[in-house]
Amino acid sequence: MISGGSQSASDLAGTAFRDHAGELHRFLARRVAKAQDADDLAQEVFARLLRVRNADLVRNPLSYLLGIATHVVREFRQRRLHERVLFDSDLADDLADHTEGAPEESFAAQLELRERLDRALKQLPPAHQLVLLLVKRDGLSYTEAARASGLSVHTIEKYVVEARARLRTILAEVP
Amino acid sequence: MDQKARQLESLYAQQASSWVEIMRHPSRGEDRRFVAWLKESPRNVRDFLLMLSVDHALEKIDAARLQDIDALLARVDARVVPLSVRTAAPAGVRRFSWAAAAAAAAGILVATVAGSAWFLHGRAMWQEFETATGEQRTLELEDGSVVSLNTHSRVAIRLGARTREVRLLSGEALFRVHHEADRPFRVSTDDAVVQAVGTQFDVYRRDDDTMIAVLEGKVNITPATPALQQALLGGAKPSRVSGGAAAAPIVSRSLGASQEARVTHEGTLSIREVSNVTDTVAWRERRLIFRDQTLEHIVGEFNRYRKNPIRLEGSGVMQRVYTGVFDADDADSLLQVLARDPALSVNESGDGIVIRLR
Repeated sequence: MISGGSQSASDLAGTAFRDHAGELHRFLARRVAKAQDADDLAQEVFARLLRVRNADLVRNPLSYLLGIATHVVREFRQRRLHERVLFDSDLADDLADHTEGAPEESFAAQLELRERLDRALKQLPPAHQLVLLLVKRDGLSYTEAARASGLSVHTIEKYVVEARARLRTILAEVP
Repeated sequence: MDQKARQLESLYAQQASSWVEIMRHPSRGEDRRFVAWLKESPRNVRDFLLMLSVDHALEKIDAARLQDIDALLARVDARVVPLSVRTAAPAGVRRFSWAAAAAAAAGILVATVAGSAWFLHGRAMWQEFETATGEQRTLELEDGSVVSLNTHSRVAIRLGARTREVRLLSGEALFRVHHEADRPFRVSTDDAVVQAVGTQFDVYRRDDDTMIAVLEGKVNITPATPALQQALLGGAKPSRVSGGAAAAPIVSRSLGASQEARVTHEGTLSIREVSNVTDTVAWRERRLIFRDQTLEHIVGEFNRYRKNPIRLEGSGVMQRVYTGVFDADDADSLLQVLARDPALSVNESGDGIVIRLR
């Protein structure tokens, strides 16, 4: 994975998510609403990031970050498998995710996240909704989205950043 | 969640979202800044990962295609800026505007023109930022200056029309000041006032004194007298600070790169050359560097990052001298070194770690 090349890092990150970090994504999907629950993960990823040589990290930050995070999630799961005695609902969900016989459950969290995003989308100002739909749902480039909406490319980028941040905030507030 | 917490959440979300955007096509410098940002705080790591997750899920947004683009287009007049987007700033991405973002988070529309008028009239308000024990955070101010807060630190910042003021209320901060000839940048503690033009320096407010170290450029330091504090809080002109008012002569000294100054509560100012000034700001990489320092000092520094302090018992133990480079988050590394010292005993008791002479 090379950053700074012609291929976009988001695509690369997306690829990393799909190919290597499915577990990470499922893990996070359930935690988007309650960010607190992601704290343990972040603490551990953070500690390991600090141990990576800065020069290496700077050369390829996203792939390091996702690689480490995926690894940590895997370890969490392993640990939880060994700590079955305690019961809590999150644990039960994670174990369900981990059970290979139930693939539909492994997507439950992501589906739920998508449904909640759809609901949250409607709370955004129309311009934000418009830009997200053009770029994310319809897959237009920023240039194409600008042409379709009459907004500038710069504004499109700005709205994407803001809309995403607001969605995240709305999700955190509506359990 | 109260209003303030909500504003903060919103700021963090905006920042994380900006990074997700930047990392689509990062330049080499942005890669570096991104890494520095991640390394500031586990919270940044968390926020970024969660935001990436949201971004990923957004690809499947409205999969049923219930929303109609044309209907939305009709509701959007391209000339009208939606209420929530004041944060934006081109620079919102590259130069994060805390004040603007805070205003937007509160749902207040601050037009650009009104915004600058607000500053021109000198009614800029103090804004406080703080870090928890073990946390570090970097603030990018509207003027382009950057303030990095170390663990357990608090600053109040006011960017006025004529001056830029920072009060270091506790802890330590590194300042990278954006040059503005006619709007001095001042950092004050109870002990000293440090004035910079365009430079990089560290201020550490300790129990009995304030330490100032310059990495680049030059600053002027003035021991803080009550009169001076008063003048600053009242928004006096910069000349009164560095030049000294007739009524109360104020002595300031200038401090250059690789120099360190200490100002005590009593107002005495001493300056020394330091060959390794970058050690002073190793905290930004969460490293603690000690060269022939007493154990009292070393443990004190470690404890800044710890919720359960390490305790030293007996005066003999405090004066022992060590040299070493440590990870601020990893007190074990220190304890391992100390455990190898046959003169010491290191004990973990219920309420923390106690070190004494054998």
